[in-house]
Amino acid sequence: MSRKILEVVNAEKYYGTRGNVTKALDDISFGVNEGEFLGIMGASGSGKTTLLNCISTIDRLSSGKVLIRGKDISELKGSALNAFRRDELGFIFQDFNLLDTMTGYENIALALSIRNADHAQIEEKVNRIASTLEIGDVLEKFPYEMSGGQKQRVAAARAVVKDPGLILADEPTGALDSKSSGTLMESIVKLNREFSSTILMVTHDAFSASYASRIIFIKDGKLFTELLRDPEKPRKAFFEKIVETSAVLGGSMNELI
Amino acid sequence: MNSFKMALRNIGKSKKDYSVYFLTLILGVAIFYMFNSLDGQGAMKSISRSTNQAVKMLVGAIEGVSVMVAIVMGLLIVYANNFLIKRRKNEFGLYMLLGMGKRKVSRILIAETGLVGIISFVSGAALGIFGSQFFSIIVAGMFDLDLTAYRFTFSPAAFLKTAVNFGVIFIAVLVFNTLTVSRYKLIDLLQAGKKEEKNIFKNRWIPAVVFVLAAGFLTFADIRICFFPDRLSRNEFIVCVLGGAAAVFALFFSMAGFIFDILGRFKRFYYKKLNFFVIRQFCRNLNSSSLSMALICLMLFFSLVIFSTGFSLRTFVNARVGNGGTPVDVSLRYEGRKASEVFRENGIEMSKLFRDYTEIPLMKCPGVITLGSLLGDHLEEGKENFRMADWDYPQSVISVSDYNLLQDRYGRKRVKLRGNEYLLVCDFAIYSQYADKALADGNPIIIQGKEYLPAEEKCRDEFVLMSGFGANGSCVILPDEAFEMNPDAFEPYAFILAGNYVTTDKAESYDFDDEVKRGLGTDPEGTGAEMGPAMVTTRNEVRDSGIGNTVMVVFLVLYIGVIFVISAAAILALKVLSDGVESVERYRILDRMGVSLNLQKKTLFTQILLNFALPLIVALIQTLFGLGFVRDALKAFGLINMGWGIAFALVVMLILYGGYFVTTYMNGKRIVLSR
Repeated sequence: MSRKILEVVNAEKYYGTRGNVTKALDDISFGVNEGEFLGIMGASGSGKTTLLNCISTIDRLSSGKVLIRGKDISELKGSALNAFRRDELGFIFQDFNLLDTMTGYENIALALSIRNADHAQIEEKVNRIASTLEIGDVLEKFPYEMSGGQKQRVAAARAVVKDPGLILADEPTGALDSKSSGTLMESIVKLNREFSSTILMVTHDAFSASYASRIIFIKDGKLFTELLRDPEKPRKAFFEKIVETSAVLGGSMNELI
Repeated sequence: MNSFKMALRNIGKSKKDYSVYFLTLILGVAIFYMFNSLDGQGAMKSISRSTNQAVKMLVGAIEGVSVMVAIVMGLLIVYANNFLIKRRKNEFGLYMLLGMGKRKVSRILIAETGLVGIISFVSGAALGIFGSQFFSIIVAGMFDLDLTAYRFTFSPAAFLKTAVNFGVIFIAVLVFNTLTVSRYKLIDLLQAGKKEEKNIFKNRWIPAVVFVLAAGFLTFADIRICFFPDRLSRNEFIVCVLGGAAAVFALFFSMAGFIFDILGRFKRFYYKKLNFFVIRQFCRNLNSSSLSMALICLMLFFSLVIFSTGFSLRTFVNARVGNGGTPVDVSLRYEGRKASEVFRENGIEMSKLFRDYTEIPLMKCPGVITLGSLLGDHLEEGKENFRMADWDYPQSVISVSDYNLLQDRYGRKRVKLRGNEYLLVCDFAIYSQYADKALADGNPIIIQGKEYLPAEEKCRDEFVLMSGFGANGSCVILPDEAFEMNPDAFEPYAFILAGNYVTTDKAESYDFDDEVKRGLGTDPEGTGAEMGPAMVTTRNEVRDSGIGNTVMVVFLVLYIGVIFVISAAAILALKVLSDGVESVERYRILDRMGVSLNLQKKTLFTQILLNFALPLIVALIQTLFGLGFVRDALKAFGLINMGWGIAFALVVMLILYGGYFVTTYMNGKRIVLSR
């Protein structure tokens, strides 16, 4: 058993005041191993974005713990929190979040420069990651000159270039067409394999999710079930399993209760 | 909820958004009132009657300038208002989405504009009314004016004028807003702020070439104008000025590309922390607004130059018309005979008029002591400068003992001359600069074979008649023996009389001025242009015209300069803020990437500072050269010490421009970094 990068222990998050409380997260616990590619699935409103926000330190849990490399992130404050976000987390967002004023190269370089890397180091790392993700030809382009898939791969490069402990991807294929989605997911898998990046991806798209090695399903703030991909079987089989589970998750469960 | 209540709440909610708008409006109203109420102000009233003419002219000039100022303020307010509307497009879109009609949205906007207008008008007017009192005190201090008759003044005329002026501007803004809203499409309102970026640095060479050419021409024009103004023909001057302005535009047009190209080469610096983020942001903003940046730079340049010049002139005139420049109540020259005889003939007793006086003869030495001869070997240089001068015109000559009587009367030190020496007295700097060279050479005066050499290496900066402007002709002082030895070499020319009146009362002294003029057969109301035998200058005239003219110059300079600075700063502030609105998203991304809030603040500060500093720095450099030229052009009135003027210009700049900078930063921080 490899080391756990992320541990979520009895995570709870409430919204609202006394008498009118909504539980966005209801006693969720799970772990992510180093080098794992974990998918989190759930319908909108299931709490998956809240969960991601709490892991990424954008939001705070009402109770429970988030441990990254064994460190409780709720104890981090001020500059330690910034440093943590800067050094340990890489983000990939649905709407890319690239800086429109900078070229692809500069967008990736920014992740390193804010950690005080010098320009020679930056150049070497950016070029290496760019060739892995096959975005060498868009490095000198501005985001508006790139296709959606290229933008998202640049964003992925930016997230991974600083060797973060954990890459958080929030609906990375949400704004992409199906062909670009495929290319992007291939890239993410490649990052996962070649750089042993640990990836936590939130999605409601079964196709994207099928690239992950394990998937947990969330419903109404609770952990619903977990699927493990069998490395021996093709991705298509995993995809079908996911669709099946989603169907149960989405429809019949309510009737069962 | 009715429109009015909603408007009130909206203003409360976005009062910080309104801060630049408020600041500009309040300053605009206050300044407009202050300058238009000048004629009623205490300081102005204490300037005596002969200055009334100057005050009238000043009021006329201010009225003229006010038209320009009103137009500038109007445009500025429409521009600022436009910024506010743009910022709130989403909000209006939401109202409309919720089913509010355009009419109702317009009504809210009208109520808002009206309220903002009234609030800022009232505060601006209050600031103006109190400011004008303060202004009076400063002016009085500046020109040693008597403020005993001072009281709090309010000028209804100026108030009404300000009200009408800004009323019209607000109606224009209202119409403009209503039109804008009625033309909006819902989709545009809701999607405001989402737009594609364009790559601006496609070509690396064009900006570099344009920049080098523009900077080169500017340097050439600067050096030409500052260091070689004498050799500048009128056409060349126009080429330098207009070309210089064009070069400033070209400079700003190419600057973004050029700066980016240069800084991008220093990879260590460029890729350090957020440096390249700032550089990209700044260059992009600079590129998209090079026109307004250049305009801002030129406005700052003009205000810096006119501030410095106007205030240097003040220091200068104060020195000339102060006690050193007006040691007696009256000084006069009467050609052909003694003025005291003329008085007596006209039935005026000297003792009734003068408490004390000195009268000395003025001689001429035709063909020997002339305008040209005193320049010696430097006559050719002088000729280049004064093409119209009559170089054979004989200059006045006074014996040393007579001159010493005048020195006593004027409270100056007596002079000593040896038998073979002469002195040259001249306070007309543009002439004395050549005469000084001749004196340094030891240029001799030869009267019937007898040689006289300069006793001093420079002209004495003294006057025979008070003038206040240092524009007296030259006068040669010779030893008494020179006249005794060669009486036929000299011709009598005129008599100089200098003295003090019987009265010491300032008001009465004006009647004495008239009495003196009448007694010599000149018209007291005359302008002095008609040539009679008498030439009279009184202390009152010298002081009043000096003060009147300078007050006028200083006020106009202040008015135009302040309006220019405010306009430049307001445009810049609004531009920076609208850029800020656009970069909210970028800072949010930085935040997500783990950039600390402190670093974000620092980055924003640098970005805003660069925007404010760049046009100011270019303007300052230009001003430095420009003032070199001004200094040279004003040499006719003597060398001016511009230090105080420049210091004053910098202080005004610091307060107004700095104020806008701080407001912009606070506001920008709130827009960009509040999440």
